[in-house]
Amino acid sequence: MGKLRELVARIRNAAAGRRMDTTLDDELQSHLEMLTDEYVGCGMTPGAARRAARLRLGGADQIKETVRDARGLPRLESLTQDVRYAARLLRRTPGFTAAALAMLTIGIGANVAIFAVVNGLLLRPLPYPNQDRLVDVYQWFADRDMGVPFSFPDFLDVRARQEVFEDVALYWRESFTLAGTGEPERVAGASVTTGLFRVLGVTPAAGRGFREGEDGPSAVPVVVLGHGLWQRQFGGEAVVGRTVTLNDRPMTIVGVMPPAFDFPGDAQLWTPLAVETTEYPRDRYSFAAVAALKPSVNLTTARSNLDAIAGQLAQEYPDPNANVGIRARPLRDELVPGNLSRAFVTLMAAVGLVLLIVCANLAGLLLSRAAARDQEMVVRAALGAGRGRLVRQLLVESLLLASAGAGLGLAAGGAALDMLLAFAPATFPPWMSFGFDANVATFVVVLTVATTVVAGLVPALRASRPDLHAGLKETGTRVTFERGRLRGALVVGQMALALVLLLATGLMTRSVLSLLEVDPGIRAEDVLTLRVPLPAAAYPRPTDRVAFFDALLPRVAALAGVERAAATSSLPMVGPFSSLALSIEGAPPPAPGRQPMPVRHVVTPGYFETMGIRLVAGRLFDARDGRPGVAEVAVVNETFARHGWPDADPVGRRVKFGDPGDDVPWVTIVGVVGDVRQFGLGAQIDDDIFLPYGQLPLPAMTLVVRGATDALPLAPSIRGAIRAVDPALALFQALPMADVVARSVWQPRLFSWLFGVFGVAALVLAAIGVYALLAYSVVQRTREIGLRLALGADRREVRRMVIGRGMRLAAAGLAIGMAAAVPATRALEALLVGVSATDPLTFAGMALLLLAVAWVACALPARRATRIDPMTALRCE
Amino acid sequence: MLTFNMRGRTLVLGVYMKPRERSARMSIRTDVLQGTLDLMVLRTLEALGPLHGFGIARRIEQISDDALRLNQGTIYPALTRLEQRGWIASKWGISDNNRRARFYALTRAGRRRLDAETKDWKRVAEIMARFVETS
Repeated sequence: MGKLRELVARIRNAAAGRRMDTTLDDELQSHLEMLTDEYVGCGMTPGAARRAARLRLGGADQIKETVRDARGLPRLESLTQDVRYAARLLRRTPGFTAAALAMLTIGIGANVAIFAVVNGLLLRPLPYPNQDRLVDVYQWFADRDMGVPFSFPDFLDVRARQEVFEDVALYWRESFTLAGTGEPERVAGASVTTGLFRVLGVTPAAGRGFREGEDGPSAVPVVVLGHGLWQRQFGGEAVVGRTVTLNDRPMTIVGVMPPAFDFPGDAQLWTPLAVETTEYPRDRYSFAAVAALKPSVNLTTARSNLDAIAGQLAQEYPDPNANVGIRARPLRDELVPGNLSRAFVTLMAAVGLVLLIVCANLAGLLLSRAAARDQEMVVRAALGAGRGRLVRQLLVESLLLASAGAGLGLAAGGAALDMLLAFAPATFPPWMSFGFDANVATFVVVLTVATTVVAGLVPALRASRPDLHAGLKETGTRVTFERGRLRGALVVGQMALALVLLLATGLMTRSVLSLLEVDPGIRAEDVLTLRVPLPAAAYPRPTDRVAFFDALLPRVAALAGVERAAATSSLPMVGPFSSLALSIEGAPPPAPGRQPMPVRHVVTPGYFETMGIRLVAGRLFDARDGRPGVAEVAVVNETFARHGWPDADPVGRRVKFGDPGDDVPWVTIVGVVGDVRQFGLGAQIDDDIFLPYGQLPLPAMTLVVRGATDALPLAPSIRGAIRAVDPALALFQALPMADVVARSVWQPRLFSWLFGVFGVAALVLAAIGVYALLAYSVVQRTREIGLRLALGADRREVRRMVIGRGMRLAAAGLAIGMAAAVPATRALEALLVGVSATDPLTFAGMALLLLAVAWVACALPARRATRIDPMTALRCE
Repeated sequence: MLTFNMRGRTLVLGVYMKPRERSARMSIRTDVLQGTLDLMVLRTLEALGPLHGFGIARRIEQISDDALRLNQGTIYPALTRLEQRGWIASKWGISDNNRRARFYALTRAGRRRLDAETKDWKRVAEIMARFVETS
């Protein structure tokens, strides 16, 4: 009990501060007087009595100290003392503090921003309970080395025969027009097979999911709503059993999902997948599939089961399944492109390097500061401070700096993150959020401590072991020289790291430039794109859809400022893309699974002219193509022409969508057009075949409009034209084609920008490091330089001495950096296009840049050195 | 705790010092286990009633027949400790020769503590005496 009371009293006293001291003073005073009285009473003189009394009592200060130790919390108090002292010291040297804080903010802030992204990409779990066991399942064309979605009959077989999954489900993203009680809304949703919710391990918050048998050919008109949609349209009231209109069809609501569930990607409602087996035969590969592994099963076992099933199907249906495999991979890999996460991890490494440079710089600054405080350390050591106490004091300083830097860095990192996301928001899946969570907080703390230790430990250890003798005599040249070597090493390290980052920048920039030089195959300037999906309910028949575009396109083309207008089913670099197998007339029958599978585009006449795609042979589509009664025609691209008809002109030849014996019409090739980079500037060019709209009027088309000049201002009038033809059509955002092309290279552009920022930061920091080192050494050697000048040295010699030191360090850093860069840039190889990872031009260029900057950084201290007046230098200490 | 704190530290009378800070400013007359000073203070206060620091120190010297000639200042950390633990209480007052001084008095808890410690001390002394005699 007593001990507890004591603790409470100690805490209270620690908080109370210095007030108790005066009471003790009075007490000791009265004690002293009473003792003195006693001695006087024994016959001593008052003076002698007083002296004896003081001896008997003991030193007042020592008594006070022991009482203080008994009274408060001595350890905490000494720590508080250290912190306050460190803060005062930092305040007194605002230049140093500002520089250090600036560097730390950059280093820590950049690290935090990138880590938040990596956290969202890689470390944060998927928002599903089963997340570790979810796999993306897909089919595989073995001979083309290509993954494809599932065909419906194959899926049914897999679902029936598999033994390794809890369940497997298909999903198909679509947009729906929902008319509930509120405004009709166009929402993203998905048609799914009944097992989807079970696969993801999510149960509806209200009502039920889908029951077996509700999908496929006998799909029932039911729908499950997402939480957000439910709140928005129905205000959160009970809806199970009510009817809504979905794409003009009445559906019954059977359930509501819990909040924050939106698989796949933004889906707000789910309806059973309605599939006619005749429309989706075994050789039509359309659907994404997801499955959940059984608890006792791992991915390898699942894969072998799937291989077995694929083997069975290949035997039972050699055409088309002969070379078709079934594969699985973790779902996360599906949701996050592999090269993207790899790139960000590389970026983290780069940012880590920058932080290292910052630490090195900081260590250098602290070292030189420590030299100035030799005196102080020596006196404290002489007064009895142990080495541990001194080290602790200096570490507290570093910790204070690092914490302040971390705080600022967090703020800066948040701002940088916003900027980063503004760069490419559309490409990140919506479920990835980059807010700061526990992981990020832990990361910041670890980073702060690590920075403190790395930057502050060596200076602290060195400073706490001062040479008492030399220190008190105020020379300390020997200590300086040692520190100079260490600091020199730090500068070399900084230079090396800066070089590596600069090389990364250089390579990435060149990669972007070479990408942008790639001919996309279209003339993207002045073209505006706009999606116009036609809902099935309003446009049930193909003729309705043809009529729509027949009405719309001339209207748009007639608008002021518009040169041409057309429509396509798959916009270059955007899609969506479908591939279909076809047979070439007269060609030998291909092996099963090896038929030509070009990407099929459906375009209105005038499309090629609108997009600026050039004609190579034959003719382009005209107004007659696709009309009823006219023979079916097609246009192919150069690549397909080369592949399909290697030594002949395809114009006039025929193809068929199916086997030669099928009862479908032959299609005649009438023209060959130039290649278009449909899948992006850096991607492969595939076989393309274009059909006129009349032959296959698909509902989901994209309007492309070429303006006489910039087309974006035409958007409102284009929308007006659309509404004039069909006022009920929901409209999407109009996007200039040039933006689409630019977006397709957003990755390399983003990374080259980021690396550029870090490269510049690293260069500046390294330059500061060199500058600081040389400036400091000039100051330290003022006397020596003054002596040299007085003895007749040329000022140019002095200048050469200083610059020589700096450049030697830079050269050493360069050499190390070059050696380190070769393996480092290999890590970037996946992101580079058109330039090798060891491109000599880039290496040479960046090396020169580094040397030039180092030269500039040396120039100022060198100039100062030459300006030293020998008289004043020799006189003042 | 208060009395038999045989933790292997070398202690100067009444002052609980860490081993390293041995640049001791108190003169060392006798090495006595820590806590005995506390016991002496409590005993003194029980016998003499409320007393100031000087008086307590003087009395301790007297009783021990000047065998313990200590720096009187060592009493103060002990008094602080005892007061923090609630076994004594202090009040400013006037001394015999009209000097203003701080008087300490035993509290009820302190009295109980004193009884307990006295019993323990007597017992240990008995046991030690037996050892010393037999061997």
